[in-house]
Amino acid sequence: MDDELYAVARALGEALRQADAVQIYLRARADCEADAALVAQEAHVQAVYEALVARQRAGEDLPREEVERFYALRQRVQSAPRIRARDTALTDVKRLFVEAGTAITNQLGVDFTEFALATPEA
Amino acid sequence: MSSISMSILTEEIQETHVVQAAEALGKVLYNTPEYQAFLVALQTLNDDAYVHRLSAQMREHGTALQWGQGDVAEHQAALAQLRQDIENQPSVRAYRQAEQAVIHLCREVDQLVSQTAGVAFAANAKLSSCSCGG
Repeated sequence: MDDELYAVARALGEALRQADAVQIYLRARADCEADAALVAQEAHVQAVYEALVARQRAGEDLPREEVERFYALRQRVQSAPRIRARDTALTDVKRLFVEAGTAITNQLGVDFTEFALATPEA
Repeated sequence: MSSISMSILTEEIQETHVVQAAEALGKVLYNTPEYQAFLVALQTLNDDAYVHRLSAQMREHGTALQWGQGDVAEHQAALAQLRQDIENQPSVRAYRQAEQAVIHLCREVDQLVSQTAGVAFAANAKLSSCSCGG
């Protein structure tokens, strides 16, 4: 990456970081990360989800009660005030980021996020 | 001015600043040698009549499969062969190579923006393809 590209990419990153939406999200995320019990609960939800997906991919027809138990567990964890605050803040971040991504895409003529998220060939 | 309208004004100023920074980034990215080479490769590919013919043949086999016409195995074998022939065309190879260079560059840019912002950029900037409002 040349110096000019580096400078404009840094400038965008800084403009985003200074935005209230990002500041609020970063504080909300830090609040969640500081709460060990919440971190453990979220990790548990993720582990249960991955295990269910793996079983489904392996061809198992998941029992309805088990899937409903998972939804209830996820709902319980997601309704914790700190997690709700973080997730709400992330919605505002996404709105701002979509605007920025669209501005780049409009200059390029192709979807910037498609390229940035593409898996490069080995 | 009330604190609410002050907050809305601050938000609008911040958004304008972000959009201007993103436009500046888009312009510089557009003028990089990698992106210009990609545009040339894309144009060359679009002008390649032979690739268009192979693509048309693929569509014919696809349509035949869709309508249950002819032998399924024969259509599938023809499709696999055509796909391979297309990927082997110089214009397609050049396009793939140029595309990879742009992918690498965009990933680097995304990494730097994300690192500076403190939040993953492209992953959160992606427009949802779902029409459920999520």
